[in-house]
Amino acid sequence: MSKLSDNVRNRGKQFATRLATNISQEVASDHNPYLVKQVRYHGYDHLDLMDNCELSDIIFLLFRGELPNSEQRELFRRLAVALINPGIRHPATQASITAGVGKTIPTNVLPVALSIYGGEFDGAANVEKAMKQFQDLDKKSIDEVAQKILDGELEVPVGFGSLYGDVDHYAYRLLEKMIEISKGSNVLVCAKQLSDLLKPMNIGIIKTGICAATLLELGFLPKQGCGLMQLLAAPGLLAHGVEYADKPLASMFFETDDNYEIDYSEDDGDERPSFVRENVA
Amino acid sequence: MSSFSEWDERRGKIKSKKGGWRIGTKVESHGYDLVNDFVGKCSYMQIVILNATGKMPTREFSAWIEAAFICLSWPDSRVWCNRVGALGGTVHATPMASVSAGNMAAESLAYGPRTFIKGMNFIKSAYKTIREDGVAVADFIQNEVDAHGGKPHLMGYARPLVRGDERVSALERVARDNGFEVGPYVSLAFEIEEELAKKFDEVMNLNSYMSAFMIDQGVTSTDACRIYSAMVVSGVAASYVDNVDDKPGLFSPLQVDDIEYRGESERKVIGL
Repeated sequence: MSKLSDNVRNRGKQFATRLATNISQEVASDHNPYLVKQVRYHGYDHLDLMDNCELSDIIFLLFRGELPNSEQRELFRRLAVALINPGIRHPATQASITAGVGKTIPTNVLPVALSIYGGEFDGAANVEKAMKQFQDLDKKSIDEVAQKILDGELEVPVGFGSLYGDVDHYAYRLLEKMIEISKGSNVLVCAKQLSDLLKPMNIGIIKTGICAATLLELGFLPKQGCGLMQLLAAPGLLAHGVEYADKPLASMFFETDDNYEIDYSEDDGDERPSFVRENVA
Repeated sequence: MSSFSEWDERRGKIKSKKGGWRIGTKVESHGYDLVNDFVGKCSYMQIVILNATGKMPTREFSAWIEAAFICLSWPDSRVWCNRVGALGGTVHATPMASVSAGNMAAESLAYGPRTFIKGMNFIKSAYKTIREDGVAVADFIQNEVDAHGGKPHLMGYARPLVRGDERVSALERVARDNGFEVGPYVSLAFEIEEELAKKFDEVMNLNSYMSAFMIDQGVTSTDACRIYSAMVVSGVAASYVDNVDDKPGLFSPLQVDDIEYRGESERKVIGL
C-alpha cells in the first residue's frame, strides 16, 4: 500500500562515547589500564568503607551519595531488616524454592525469585508509584484524604490495601517499629494515620507502603524504590531457595490429579476475533 | 464466609482455565489433546498464540505473527536488549540466563511489547477522531503535533535513530501472501503516514503497522503483549553467541580512563 517507509535514512543521532558516573571512581593500575589500584564510592575509599561501615551504610551511600547520619542509619537498617525475608509462603519465595528443588543452576535462583518479587501483590512493583503518592499526601490533610477514600471519591493509594482479604497487621507492626526511631517523621506518621483511618474499609498499610514511606523519609528518589525493595528482600528469597537445592524433587508441591482441576467454563465470552480458527481438526 | 475463604478454596489445589497433564491419559490444552491434535498438525507459532490468548489462530495469522518475530530478531549487539545478551556472552554466563536477561530488558517503555499498548491505543483513538467524529487527517495530525510542543511525535510514526522502517513493507507483503485484505485500521494508519510524510517527512514504523494490523484482526493490546512476551529472544541469542566463544571481556571492554567521574572528591569516613 505504501513504500514511504522503505526509504530508511540515518538521523545522525549522536551517542555517548564515554560513560559518566557520580558513584564510582577508579584509579588505574600503573601497568594495565583495565585494572584498578584504588576505588572510591562518592569520594570514600573502598577499603576505608570496609574498615568503618556496615553493609546498609554503603547501600545508603551508593544511592544517596552520602553516608547516613545516626538517625538515617538506624531507620535504613530497620527497613533492611524489616524487608529482608518475604517469608516462605510468599510467591517469590516459592519460585525460589521451585528453582532450588528443580536443580536450577545456582546463579539463576536469585534472578528467578527477584523477577517474581517484582509483582504487585505484596511485592516491589508499586514502590515508585507509592513514593510519588506519598509526596502528594505530604501536602494534604490526611483526614480529608481518608474521608474521600472512604466515600469512594479517591482510589486507595498503592501503598495501602489488604492481604488475603484483611488488614496486614504484621505490616502495621513493622510500621510502628519504624516510627519508634524516626523522630518527627512526616511520611511515616502520615502513613500510620492513613492506615488507621482506612481500617473501616478493612485495608491498611502494606509492605510496599512501608518501603515507600521510609525511602521517601530518607531522601531516596521514587525511581530508586522498586529495585531497592527487591534488593532488601534478596537475602531471604535466596536463602529459602538454596535451602531446597539439595532436597529431592518430591520436597516441593506437585498437586495430585484430583487437586488439579481443569475448568474451561470461564470463557471470556468475547466475540470470536477474525484471527481465530474455527476448529482445529 | 470469612474474608479469606477465596484463598481457602485454592489451598492445595490448582484450578486451570488452560489445560494440564492428565498423567497416563493425555496432555490437555484448551480442550484439545496436545499430542494428538497439535503435534505435526499445527505450527509452533499457532500454539504460542493459543497459549497466550486462549484462542487457536489460523495458520495465516500465525504465519504473519511469526514473520513479525523475524522482523524483531536482528543480530546486532548495539540494540539495547541484544547488548545485554552480548554482555552475558562476554562474561560466559549461561545462554538461558543471558537470553532471559535480554528479554527482560525489552520490557521497556521505549521499545518491546509494551509499546503495543500505546501504539494500539493511539490508532484506536485516531480511528475514533477521524472516522467517527469526522476530523480531517491533516487536522488530527496538527492537533497531535501541537500537543507535542510542535514536534511530529505521533506514536508509531518515528524511530529515534532513523527515519523509515523497511520492515513495514515486508510485513505488508506477508499479509498479502497470506490472503489478508487491508483492514480499516491499517488503511487509516497509511492515510496518516501519507499526510505526515508530506508535511513533516516522517513515516510509520513497525509498531504502528503491527498495532493497526492486529486491531484489524481482533487482537487486544493485552493479547499482543502476551503473544510477544519473548519477542526479542532470537536476536539476543545471536548477540550472546557472537561473544560467548571469545576470550572473556572482549565485548565492549572499557579502560579505567574511559569513565568520566563527576562525583565527590576524595574524603575520609569520619565517626559513623
